[in-house]
Amino acid sequence: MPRQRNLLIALDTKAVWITFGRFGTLIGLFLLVAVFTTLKPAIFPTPRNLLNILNQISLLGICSAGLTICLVMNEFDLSIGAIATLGAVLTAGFLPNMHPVLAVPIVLVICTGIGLVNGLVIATLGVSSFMATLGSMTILTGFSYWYTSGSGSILYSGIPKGFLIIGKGTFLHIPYLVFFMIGVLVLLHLFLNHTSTGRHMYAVGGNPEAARFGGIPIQKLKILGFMTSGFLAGLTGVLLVARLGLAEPTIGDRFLFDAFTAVFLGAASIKIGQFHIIGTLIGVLIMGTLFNGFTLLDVPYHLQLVAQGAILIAAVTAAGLWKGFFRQKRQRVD
Amino acid sequence: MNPILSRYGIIAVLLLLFTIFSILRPGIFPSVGNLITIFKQIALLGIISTGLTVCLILGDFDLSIAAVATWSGVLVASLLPLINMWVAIVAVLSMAVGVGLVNGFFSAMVGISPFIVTLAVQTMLRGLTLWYTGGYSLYSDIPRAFVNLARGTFLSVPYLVYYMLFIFLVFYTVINHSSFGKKVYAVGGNPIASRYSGISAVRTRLVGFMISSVLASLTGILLAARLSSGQPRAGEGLLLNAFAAVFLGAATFHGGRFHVAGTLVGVLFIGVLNNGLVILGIPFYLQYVIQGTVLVLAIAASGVARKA
Repeated sequence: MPRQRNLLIALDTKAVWITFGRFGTLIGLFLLVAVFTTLKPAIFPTPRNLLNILNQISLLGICSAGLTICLVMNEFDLSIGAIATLGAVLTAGFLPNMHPVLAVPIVLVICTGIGLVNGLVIATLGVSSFMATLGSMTILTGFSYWYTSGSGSILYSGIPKGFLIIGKGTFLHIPYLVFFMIGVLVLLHLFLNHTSTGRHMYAVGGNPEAARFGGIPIQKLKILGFMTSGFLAGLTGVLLVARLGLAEPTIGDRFLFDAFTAVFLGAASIKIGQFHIIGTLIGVLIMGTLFNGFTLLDVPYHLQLVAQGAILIAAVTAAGLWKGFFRQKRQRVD
Repeated sequence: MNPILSRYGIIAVLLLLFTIFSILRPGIFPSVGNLITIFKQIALLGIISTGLTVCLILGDFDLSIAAVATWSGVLVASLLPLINMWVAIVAVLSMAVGVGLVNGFFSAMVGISPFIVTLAVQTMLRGLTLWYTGGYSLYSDIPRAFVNLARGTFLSVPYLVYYMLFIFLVFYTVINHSSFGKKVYAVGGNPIASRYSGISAVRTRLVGFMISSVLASLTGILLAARLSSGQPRAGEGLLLNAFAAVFLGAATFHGGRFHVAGTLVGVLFIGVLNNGLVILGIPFYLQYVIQGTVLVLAIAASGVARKA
């Protein structure tokens, strides 16, 4: 009898932990929305502001999606911020002399090429991704400073009006940039979960030895991952110019840490410990809601940083406790 | 041949850099005065990298070191007008012990990836620093004695160089010749095996994070002394350079293993490269490009040699 009671209690707490752990980030997101709605009922929950949040997170969403692919394979890409900067700087530099239809693909090809170089250095030379992308980040930062040095480091003249529409235009009241983000996220979600290449990427991240014995081309997949990440970071840079109408050599820097925070928040959601696109979307939404709500409440930027860090630790702790609970259970059985 | 290249590849590149700079600027680069300058320039990087080395040996990341350094510099600059210099320094270092405990608690005891924990702590400390300073530098009432800690010289060698060498020596001895050092390598090499041999991985990792935080904090304090002010972005550049130095060090002597002597080589490597590029009058953006390229090539070279 007592044994049965113990079991019941265990099941109960287990259910609580599961909900708390798996959906902790989602619960946190709803809490944030609820708090901001209560504090700013007339402004925060309006459709216009919610669309505004989506618009604000669109670029972070795009480059976080690329980072997710690299992290799925257990590889770091520290160069995404620098690639976004380079993409922005090149776009703003090309546009005065070139038609956007020509300039944008060229920029995207360059950024994808940088991803290719990252991938080649990592997959064939065996340099750790941390060091390789740290190196390319340094190189690209130098290049962006060099490229802008002739023009007082800010490029803003001669960007055609037609190009800026991409960043400012709307369709059915929804900004184009939101469509870009949703398109990228849906494509990558389908790619990672419903194609064999995507499943193989998870295999590479989960157990590289087994993946190799299973005949999965690890090197090719890694190169593909870094190319995707480079392409999406470049796209982020291009759209950054479309939104702001200028580029300067630090413009994309903050995407690096923000994207890592968003993707890690995502890995603490639903499928704990696994990087996935839906989680990344949740992470990006949390960061966007936080930024938007704090701005509406006139909370200064530095407090936003503190809250961002605290939420990241809290979310991952909640998720980790859930996992730890099971680990302890299993050990006790042993 | 190959093992030699993989062991001494980084040192060979370092000597090569040294030779190139000496040939290009024979009157300036290889002078005693400039060598002392190089050591002065790398002193702070050396201190912060030593702490990071301990963390990396344990298999832990510490991304919060630069934020800890910046916050410590700002905090000490704000305390100096109020209390005795040594009390202020000890207070700031104890604060750093606390940060290390927080990092260690969440990484080693709760079991979150240290990359995430220290990323979050770094973000929070950056916010805290901005809030505390309002974005401005703190430079009023910094006592001369404090500034002298960093700017003073003994036998025409700056104090900073002695601090760095002292800390290297202490940690070289501790990591290579003490039981704590053996525990550090055991936990970093195989945490499960180390647990079965009775080593508390949790406690060792906690101490590792504390060492890394305290040395980062010391770096920040000395940086504030050198700048005679607490600046809210002073330490930012240290993070990536420290990682570069420690990883370069891991590619030296024992391929792929982090160790204190290697870190000294890595720090020297970065110091010689930066100093030489500045003396050659190369524009700063090209310096970035060259630094990144040399970094990747040096590591790739020793890595390829190891594989072959």
